[in-house]
Amino acid sequence: MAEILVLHALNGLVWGLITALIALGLSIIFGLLDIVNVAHGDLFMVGAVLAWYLVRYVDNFWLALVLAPLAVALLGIVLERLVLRSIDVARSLVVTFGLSLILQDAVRSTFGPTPQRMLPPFEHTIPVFDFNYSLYRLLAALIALAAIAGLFLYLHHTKFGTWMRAVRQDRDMATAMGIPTDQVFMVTFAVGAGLAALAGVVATPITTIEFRIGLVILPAAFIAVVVGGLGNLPGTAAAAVLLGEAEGIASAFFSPTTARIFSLIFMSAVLLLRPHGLFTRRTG
Amino acid sequence: MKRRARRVLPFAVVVALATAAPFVLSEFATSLLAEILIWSILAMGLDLLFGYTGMLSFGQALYFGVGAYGITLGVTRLGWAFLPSLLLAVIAAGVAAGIAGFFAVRLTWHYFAIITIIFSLVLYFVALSRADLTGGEDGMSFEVPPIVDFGGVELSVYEPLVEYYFVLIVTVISFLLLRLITRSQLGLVFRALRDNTNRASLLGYDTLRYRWVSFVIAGMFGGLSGALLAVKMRYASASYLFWTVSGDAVIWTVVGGAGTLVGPIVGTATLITLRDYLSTWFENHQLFTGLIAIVVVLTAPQGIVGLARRLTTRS
Amino acid sequence: MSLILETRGLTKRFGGLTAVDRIDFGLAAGELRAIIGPNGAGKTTFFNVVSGFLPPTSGEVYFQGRRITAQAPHRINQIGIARTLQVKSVFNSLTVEENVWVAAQSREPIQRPFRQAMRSSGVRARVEHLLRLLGLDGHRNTTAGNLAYGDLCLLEIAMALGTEPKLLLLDEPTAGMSAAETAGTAEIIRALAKDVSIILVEHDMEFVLNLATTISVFHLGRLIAEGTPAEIVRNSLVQEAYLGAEHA
Repeated sequence: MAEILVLHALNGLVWGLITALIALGLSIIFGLLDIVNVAHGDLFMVGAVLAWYLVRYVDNFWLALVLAPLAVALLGIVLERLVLRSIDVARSLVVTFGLSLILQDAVRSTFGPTPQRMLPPFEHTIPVFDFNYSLYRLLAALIALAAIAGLFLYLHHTKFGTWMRAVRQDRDMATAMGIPTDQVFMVTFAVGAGLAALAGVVATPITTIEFRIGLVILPAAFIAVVVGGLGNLPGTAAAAVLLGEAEGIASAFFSPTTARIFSLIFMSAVLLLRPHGLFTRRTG
Repeated sequence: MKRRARRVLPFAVVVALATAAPFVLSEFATSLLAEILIWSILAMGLDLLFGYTGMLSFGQALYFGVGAYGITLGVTRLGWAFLPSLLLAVIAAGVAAGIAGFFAVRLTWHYFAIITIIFSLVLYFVALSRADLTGGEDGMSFEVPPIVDFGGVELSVYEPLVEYYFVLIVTVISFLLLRLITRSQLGLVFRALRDNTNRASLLGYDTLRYRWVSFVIAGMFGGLSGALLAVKMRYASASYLFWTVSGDAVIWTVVGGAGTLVGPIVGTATLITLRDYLSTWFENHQLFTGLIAIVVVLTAPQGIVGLARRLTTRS
Repeated sequence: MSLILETRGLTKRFGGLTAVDRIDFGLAAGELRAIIGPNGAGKTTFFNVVSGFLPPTSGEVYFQGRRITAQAPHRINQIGIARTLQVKSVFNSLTVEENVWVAAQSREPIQRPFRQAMRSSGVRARVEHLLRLLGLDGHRNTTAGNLAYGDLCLLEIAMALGTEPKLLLLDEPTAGMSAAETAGTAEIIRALAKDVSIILVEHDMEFVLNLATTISVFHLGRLIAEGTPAEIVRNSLVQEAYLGAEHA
């Protein structure tokens, strides 16, 4: 019994970290650009699809791990410059929803509507208690963790990262101080998109790949962002992991669907009791 | 008198056109029009909540689904006739909105939007897991009883004309009701809440109570819409509860013009027609729908109706 | 002498900052009181706590002898206290007339969903009276978001009055007004004071000295002096507070 619990907890951790990548991207885009990116899940999907193509034709997962997020980040730059510059929250909802439709349809007509699967780059397992746990999943978790750590290092220890934080704090003040806010917006969206795509690549061997997987993971990412506290990046990451774990552990006892229901109810309770997020300290 | 006539005239013309439609349009087009009318009830309810009261809900699918299952289960499980089942659907949706709203209206902005999504997700998964009751994603079809079966007169939705006119009548009544509400004393309070909840509270309004009322009304119309779709499709499924249904309603309302009540109808009609017509020519109709939504919102932020009004008042 | 408003030991702390510090405040019915003090003295926070916008950290508030501490703002308004805000806050997309109407119809027990807005004759009479009293009659169809600042201040006052208060809290009612507008507002407030108890928070000393019967002086969250305008002007503590704040 304990083993099953550990198995589910591990799976929950892996998915929680993957969701955290997506949620962090969503959060920085919202925090800096005031954009509610409904297409964010589809950026995750595009990352997964690109990875599938790269692995199929170049047979190198590690290359995909690098190229796919870069490609999507570039796409993010184009989108930001074209349609998302200086847009208010309400409009961003509709525009990104439109983008979401476009991305899904584009993928559906090129990749096709049939779900595909992809093997992990290696099949090794690692013994955990009485069973063998996929080593790839652990690696996926590590990659996600490294990316998250990398994001925080970037934000706190590089000049550009500091600019991003400044723009988030006070856009006008940042402009007055000479920070190139336009560039910051562009890079922020690119980083956010890239993180989602990275999550997609990492997730490809452990999920089905089809044009609608973005829709499934987007609500979880949004919930993590809000429950973690808007603008609270560590909180968001923690909330995503919490959500993943809650679902994972619950699915040891219940069906996955029921597990989802419980974790969602848990999240509602958090929202209602601590609307500023689980991890944000209330001011005033 | 003249001013009144100017307001009533466009409405009368549209209703007249809609009434004549089945004789002018093909069967497919008439059926599409009926679907548009049904969906616009959902959008109008959302407009009351969002356009008039300022509460952006991304979870109207919940009440839509409750309405759809309400009528389906009322007919199949309780063996009720058409109208009682329809009433059950609307009331069930209202009750669901009452319960969910009690919690949701305490939150604002993104928090409110997120919790409405969470609630609708919960019910979606519940519907999936209780496939014995709901048919899950595959859904359950049912035989729709006649609308009226009295004194030798039987009106059944299996007659295309009956179905169409029933939907048209319900839509017109919904529009008129919502119009009455938005122009009423209560409607003025809603608009005040939209502009400045804080100030409303300082003026003695229990803002939670009024937000809840708006939420429940929107939920009931959502349920009505869902019930009508279930009737038209002779079928209800968990997919009715998926959050993209809520998203669609928001898009239609915003593209058509939020806060105008006519806007949601225009938006729904435009986007659904586009989707259906384009899908006969292109595989990628979603892509074009997305493009159009983007273009409209960027160039006409008040939506189609807002743009039209600005253009006509300027001249 | 009955006190219409009384606070006992009212305190409000924000983390390490004590904005309102053990204030014992009393207002008799019919008074026209001004609260003055340098910036950061806690005047607006005091209003926020009394009107229910913020709960106090400790202490009590009594209105007409009834304990109203930490009640919801809408309930406090229904009981009889109305206020205007320092940062003017109205219903921007509604017209001036609609704004005042919303305020006035708040006294109706039910907000009817099927009766057309702005029809009730009783409420209409009050709305018309308020529009005329505050000189907003000519702007009745202007969208509130497009109002000139001076008129916006007057609209706020009209709306507060629409709720038929017994006590009116005016937070910097003339901030940003021209000299002529300020004089006009003084007249309006003086006329109002006949029927309503009023507390004003103001920075314009001349305005306050000419208008108020009694002045309370706040400094760093404490009530440091209270008296007639003549007394306050001579008060050394008050002078120190203002001079000290200037040099700070």
